[in-house]
Amino acid sequence: MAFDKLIELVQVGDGQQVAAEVQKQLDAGNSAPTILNDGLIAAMDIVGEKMESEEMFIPEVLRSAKAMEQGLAVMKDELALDDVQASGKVVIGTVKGDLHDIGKNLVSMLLSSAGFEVIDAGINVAPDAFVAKVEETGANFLAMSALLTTTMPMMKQTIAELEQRGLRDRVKVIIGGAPVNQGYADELGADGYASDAGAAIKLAKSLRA
Amino acid sequence: MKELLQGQAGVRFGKLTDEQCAKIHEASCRLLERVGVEAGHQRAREILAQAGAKVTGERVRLSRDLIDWALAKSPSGFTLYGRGEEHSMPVEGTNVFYGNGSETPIMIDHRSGARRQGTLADVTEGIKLIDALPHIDFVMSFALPWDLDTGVVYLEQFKAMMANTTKPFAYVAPRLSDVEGMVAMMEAEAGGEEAHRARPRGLSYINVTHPLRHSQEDLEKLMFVAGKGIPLVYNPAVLRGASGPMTIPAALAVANAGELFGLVLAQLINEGTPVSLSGGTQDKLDMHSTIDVYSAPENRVAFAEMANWYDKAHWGLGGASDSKVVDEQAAAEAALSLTLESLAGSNLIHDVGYMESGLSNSLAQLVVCDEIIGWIKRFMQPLEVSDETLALDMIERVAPEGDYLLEDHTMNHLNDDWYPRVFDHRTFDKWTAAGGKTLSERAAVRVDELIRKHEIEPLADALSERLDEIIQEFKASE
Ligand code: B12
Repeated sequence: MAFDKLIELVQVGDGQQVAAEVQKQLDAGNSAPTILNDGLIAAMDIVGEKMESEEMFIPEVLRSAKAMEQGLAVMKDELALDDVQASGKVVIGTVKGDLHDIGKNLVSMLLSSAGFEVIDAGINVAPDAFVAKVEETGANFLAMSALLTTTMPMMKQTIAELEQRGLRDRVKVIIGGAPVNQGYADELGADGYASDAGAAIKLAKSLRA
Repeated sequence: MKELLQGQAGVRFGKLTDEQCAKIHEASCRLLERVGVEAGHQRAREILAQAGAKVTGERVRLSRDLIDWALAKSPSGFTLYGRGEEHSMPVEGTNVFYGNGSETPIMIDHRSGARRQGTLADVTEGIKLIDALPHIDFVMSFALPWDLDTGVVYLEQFKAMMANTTKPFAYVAPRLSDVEGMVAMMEAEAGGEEAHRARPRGLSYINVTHPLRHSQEDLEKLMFVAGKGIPLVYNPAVLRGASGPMTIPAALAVANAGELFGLVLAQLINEGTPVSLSGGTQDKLDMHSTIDVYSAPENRVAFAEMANWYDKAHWGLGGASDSKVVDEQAAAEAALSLTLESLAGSNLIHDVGYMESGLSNSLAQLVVCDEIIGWIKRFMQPLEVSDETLALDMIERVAPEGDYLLEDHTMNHLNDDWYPRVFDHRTFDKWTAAGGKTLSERAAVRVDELIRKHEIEPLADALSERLDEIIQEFKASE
């Protein structure tokens, strides 16, 4: 296959070489959409499978995604990048009173590696601050993380605030964090819950479709 | 370096040499000098600036002099006191004490095996069991009740602790107001602030958001507790590869830098404040599942060694498993971590009985851990080699063909040996006759037996009422 090398380089996560290989394929007369679909996206599909089967570590997956972006950048004139770039714009943050951010950061990085545009609102984010961010950025996803039993009610308050400002129908609300579960998501009327970053990506993709 | 106290075990396991410890200390000092800490609390920055720290914006850089000064000022140990005269714990030297873990969102019901949210009744029962367990020396809150308002949950839970155990505490809460309320409750019990400072009931466990970025909340708690001059541990979290570097020495250097920063601030606020070192929450982040792995072999021992090298008390972790049920994995992970942390000379080993990455707690697992600790305590006893224990006169009398069963010497030492309560050392027939139960089943039975039999003197009415007032005073509005 013409793109074997490219696929390999994306998996290894060498961005510079990915960019060079993309250029080589363009020079050889391959079209940008072909390189994208049969090369870069095909490679990321394999990466996704290897993450699932634990053949690749998460940081390796993140590197591959970065390498793919570098390859994409080479073709930005040939591709109408806005069409390629996903239609997902996510505001993500940890709720008020809660300072845990390691899980939130991982979800945020994996979301952007899956093509979402991610706006990180940080930690200790109050309901009105979440909603203001959604309004300001025109996001169509709100992702909230809570690691403490005592801060989970902030998710409910944020959803109420969204409703009050007439924004609830515009955004998909997804939630996660250690004490959170599907039952709680249902109770709040959130659009989804995921127990880890991999599942969070699947969830976001399914809601985007 | 910590000296072995008289009468203590000569067993001491470590992986770091003194030179390696010194190198890590140097690395931490360099980080504090060159990178510094982003400190999100204005008064903290002012106090540090006054003491000569270099403050630019929120960034605070410390000189070695200041670090050395603080290390010299902070005591190498402290004592925690139980209710009344019982259970005093000298946290120093190679003394090792064990405590359960706090506030898990989930618990495993020992009766039904169900994984469920805990209630205040569960916490009350749990604390009562912990009070009864012979080898759990200090107490944390077990599970976080879901049947209480979030504004009072930490304080109500703490009252349940005060009412149901006479052992010392390690206490922890997200909000400063909760920590203030808990301290007020212990002061009420002790008969005032001074009386409590003289005989502190607990250690304040303060978790720090990032090793080199300390939030307002982290610093505010440190300043409050140090202001009281009562024992604390200021513990920066490093999940290697995510919130800190991937290799153990680097992660240790970074976490240690964060801890030294806390130590300096604590001594500036109140010289002589007892601070226990922890080496940080150095958990392994599983880079497949993204679980914070409590039981990983990488987590253990080096952190205790740094505290030993500084000659400070150490806040350690052991007896925590990542298994979801009380099974073989749970027992093995508990045994390995408890053994290693004990051998390393960690003074306060907490999170005993934790399951599932700190997300659940199980009373049956605590009983299993209590048994393991009994085994370890017996093992850790020094071997005395004396006329009495060599017993040469007796051997010469009995040997070569006699047997020792009826000897006084045998009688006198029968009770030296360790006998299990839930591990099974019976014959196969006896074990079968008793129901052929597995370890986890036997542990669940013992939980109920202990809870049923154990009595504890209730709080005096006046104190109980006072604690309720304090809860109202300090409850959070949301
Ligand atoms: C590391 C840690 C800390 C660190 C945090 C460092 C940091 N910068 O984040 C430190 C030590 C500072 C800390 C502090 C505290 N902690 Co803490 N902490 C943990 C611990 C051990 C691991 C969390 C973690 O980072 N895991 C690794 C990451 C990758 O996983 P994750 O966060 O679960 O995220 C994954 C999924 O949940 C999901 N996800 C997460 N967010 C989202 C969002 C969306 C939208 C989706 C779809 C998915 C998703 O995907 C992520 C990636 O796979 C947990 C125990 C646990 N197992 O969760 C306790 C825990 C959460 N902490 C707890 C507590 C109590 C505290 C403190 C109150 C203790 C204290 N008083 O000092 C403070 C709170 C301070 C505050 N106001 O927030 C309790 C909560 C108990 C409860 N019932 O509420 C826990 C459960 C431990 C325990 N049993 O005591 N903590």
